[in-house]
Amino acid sequence: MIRFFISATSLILGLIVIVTAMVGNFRFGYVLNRMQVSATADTLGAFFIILGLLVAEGFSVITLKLVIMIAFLWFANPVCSHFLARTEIISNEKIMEECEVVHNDNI
Amino acid sequence: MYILLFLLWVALNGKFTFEIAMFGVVISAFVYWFMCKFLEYSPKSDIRFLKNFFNILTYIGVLFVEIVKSSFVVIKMVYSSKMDIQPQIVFFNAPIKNEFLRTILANSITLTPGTMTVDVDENFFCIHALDYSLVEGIEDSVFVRMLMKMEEKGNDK
Amino acid sequence: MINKLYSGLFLFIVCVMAITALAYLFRAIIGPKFSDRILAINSIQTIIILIICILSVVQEESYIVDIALIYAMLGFVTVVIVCKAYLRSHHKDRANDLANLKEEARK
Repeated sequence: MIRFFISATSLILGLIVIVTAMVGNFRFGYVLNRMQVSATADTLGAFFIILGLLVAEGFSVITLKLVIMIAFLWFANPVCSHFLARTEIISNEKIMEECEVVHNDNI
Repeated sequence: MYILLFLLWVALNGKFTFEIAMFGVVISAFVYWFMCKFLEYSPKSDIRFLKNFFNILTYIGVLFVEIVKSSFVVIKMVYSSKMDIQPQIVFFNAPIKNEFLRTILANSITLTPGTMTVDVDENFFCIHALDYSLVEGIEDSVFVRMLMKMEEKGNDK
Repeated sequence: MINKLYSGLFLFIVCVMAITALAYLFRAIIGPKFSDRILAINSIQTIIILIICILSVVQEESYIVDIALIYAMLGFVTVVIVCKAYLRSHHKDRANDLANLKEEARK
């Protein structure tokens, strides 16, 4: 029973994070800001949901595979976001209007 | 690394019998040889990895704490009634020589919600941030300091 | 008893995630820019991976996680290649735009 409550809490937390990312996706106006909110869902939401599944399942082969899954997600998602951001910044000609550009020289 | 490959093989197979273990030993040896031959990997990297093992564990812990902290900042920003955010693009300079560690730094910056690496050019990191408060003092953050410590430890053998 | 609780919980979570995926699909349709659409597709992909993981735990079959893993790899490659192809075909002349941005920021 206690295991059920732990796993339910974790799953509901992950769900809240994912729904928040969806809401933010509709509220923010610019692609790069939306991307940041989606990154939250990709990292924290996925982590919480898979943690809840791990607790619900107990130790078995599925657990091992789910651990591989979360490791892969955490390695692959940053690369996806990086490519998206690069595409957006290179293809947008009026990037200076959307966000302030700062150069930080600390040599 | 060999042990990690073997564990991956066992986890993907789903069950553990004698034949599967034999095949796993052979195939992991082959993959290890391939990595050494073509992917610029060497047993030296294994030693460096073992030397830095506790540092890596602490790094993962710190990364997780940072992700949770900045996630809450971002979630609060989404549900605040007025959207007063100031997105920024920051160029900064991180004094890390090793390419692998630079990749790790860029990945962890992107993994943290609210900041995202756009480009890495030698030492220069180009970062987009959702709000200026998230990116304050990033050139001297926990990640950079820990990675520099790891680099020092990896260099003096 | 506990099995019923688990299946109800999983059903609820899968339903909410499916609605979220539909909302992302709407975002992908109305998205004003190219990168908007790719971002929505990427988020749908993450949500579907999580749904497949939940399915594997419900059905107690370990090979379903393999399907999720393959789907994650496929989506990752898709995003990277689509971004590269878009930059290559539409914005060939703006390849060193980031250097210009850096120079502008230095001022």
